[in-house]
Amino acid sequence: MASIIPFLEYLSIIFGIYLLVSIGLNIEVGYAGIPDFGKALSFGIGMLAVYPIFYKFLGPASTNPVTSIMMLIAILVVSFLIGFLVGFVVTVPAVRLREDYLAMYLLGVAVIVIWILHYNVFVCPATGNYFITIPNLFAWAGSAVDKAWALTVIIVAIATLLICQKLCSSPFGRILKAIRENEMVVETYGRNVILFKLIAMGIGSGITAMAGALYVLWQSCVSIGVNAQLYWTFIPWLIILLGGLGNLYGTLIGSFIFALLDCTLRTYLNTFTLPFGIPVSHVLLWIGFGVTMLIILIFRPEGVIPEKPIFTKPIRKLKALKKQKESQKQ
Amino acid sequence: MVSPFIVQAISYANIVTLLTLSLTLTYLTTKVPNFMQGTYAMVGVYVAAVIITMLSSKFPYYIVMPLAFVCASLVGAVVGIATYYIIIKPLIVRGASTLMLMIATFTGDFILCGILYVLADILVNYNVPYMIGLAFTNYSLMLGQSMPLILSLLSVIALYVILYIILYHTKFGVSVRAAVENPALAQTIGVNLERVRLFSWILSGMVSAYAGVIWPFIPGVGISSPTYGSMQLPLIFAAFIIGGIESLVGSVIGGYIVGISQTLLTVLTGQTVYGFVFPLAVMTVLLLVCPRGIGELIETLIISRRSLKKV
Repeated sequence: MASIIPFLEYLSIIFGIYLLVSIGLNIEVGYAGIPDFGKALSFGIGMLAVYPIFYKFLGPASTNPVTSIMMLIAILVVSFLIGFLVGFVVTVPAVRLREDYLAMYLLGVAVIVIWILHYNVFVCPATGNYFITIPNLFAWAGSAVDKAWALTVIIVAIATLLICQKLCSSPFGRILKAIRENEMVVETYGRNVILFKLIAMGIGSGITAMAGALYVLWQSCVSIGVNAQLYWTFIPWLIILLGGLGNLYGTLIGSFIFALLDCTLRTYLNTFTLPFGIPVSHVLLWIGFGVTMLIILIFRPEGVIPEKPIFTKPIRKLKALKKQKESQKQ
Repeated sequence: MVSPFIVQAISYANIVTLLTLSLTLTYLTTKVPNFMQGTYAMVGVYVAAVIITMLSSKFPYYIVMPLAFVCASLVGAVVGIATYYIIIKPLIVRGASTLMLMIATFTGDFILCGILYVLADILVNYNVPYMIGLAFTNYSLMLGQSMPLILSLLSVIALYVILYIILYHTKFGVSVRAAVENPALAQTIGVNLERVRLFSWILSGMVSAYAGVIWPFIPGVGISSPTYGSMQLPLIFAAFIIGGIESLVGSVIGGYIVGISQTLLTVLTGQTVYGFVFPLAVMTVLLLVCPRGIGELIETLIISRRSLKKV
């Protein structure tokens, strides 16, 4: 029983961070219809946002819980704003174009920025390592530091989910869905399609940047690997397709399934042996996730929970009235 | 003699051109940008590495190298067929959108990369170096620097001539062009759309894997792991978009702009990473000014505005 608590902590952190990234991606893809193949960009930007704040204002690890929580909130807000700005600005050149142009463009920008971050920014000059260690924000918690992080990540993720669910059921979210279905109609009704798309992209990137910031703070080490596209673009895509596009509760289920699978497989992977001298490594998980993704795409593209229409208050009232009338007739 | 910088720039540009041409080919018939293009080339790299390591001690280079090219092309063709039948066709049959097809090829890239990683892990036991570029060092020193230049230049010209002959001087080429122009109409006339698509995917796989064999011989290119191909993907996409995504001439122009500017910037700044920035900047500006790429730019310069408006 002793080993289940670290497992649960790890699980909840992985779950929370992937939930945040996937919410960001689902707002972009599922609601606004922007095929973002460069999610790792805003994740990396979030990582980058933490680094200057820490060194400018905090310095050594804080011993005071109140200060560190204030610090955390400040970092989350700043990383959201920076992510919003980057997502907004980066998308401007290609937002008017067809989705395949947009996808290629976003992927290109993301991969190049990751290269630059990996080889130039996140290199510690003193050691030459491809990462920079930073003091742990919750160092005051002592041995319970992982528990504190697990709790924080889950709280932030669930709060974001609830806020985004509210946002996506609001007129804003419904306009995004309308844009995804038919841009021409929305434009005819006098809405600025480009602006709405850019804002959606900004919000998605901002939420992802928050996830990047949390990830860095938890690891207390800033680094972005060359496989960032796999972890922070491909897997969020897998999660939102598994859960269902345009559906945030589906994303919740999708990321939980993914986190559970990933953590379990990683824990027990070393106990397997394979024929033909195939080494057991994380690469096998890549292939497994890829095949899963293809199966989902071919056989169940709508995901676990298919998208449902949003029922606003007037529509619900009308439905109730209809039901009443039908029952009166009978 | 030719300076090493020019050799590097032009051979690199040729490789990018070959990859962009094969990307354009599949885009024309299937209407989906192939996110696996870079990794297709890595398939060629690995096949060539295996053949060179296994046979270089037994046979002279003029047998080993052609064999490497032939085997790489064949394996590339098989990968192309597999991609079409496993990833593309089931989705097209179910009427998937472009977005779904894009995700599928994006996924295929990770699967192929994963398979190559596993292969690399196994091949280490058979003396193939894990840093795959090292397998080519001996031959690279032996064959000299002008080999990649001449070979890649000849390949681009040959591919272009072959494509031209197939597309404009054979009956099959007519059906391919018809399918590109208007798939539904071509189908009603009796063009076998599936054959056209299969042809393009086979050719794409073959050409990319072939280009992959030349790639490690270019000076200044250090191929270390299977992800190298997908990291080069932005350059291929940049060339693809700069050339105007539906034109074969455009992809040659785009490939040259990207390849030469990348090498120039890399040499000037001394870092590979910054070589990426210029092609990306060109792509961004082009997307803002004329999204249809160089092809449209030339058209706008030649034809007056009024006649364009009529079109």
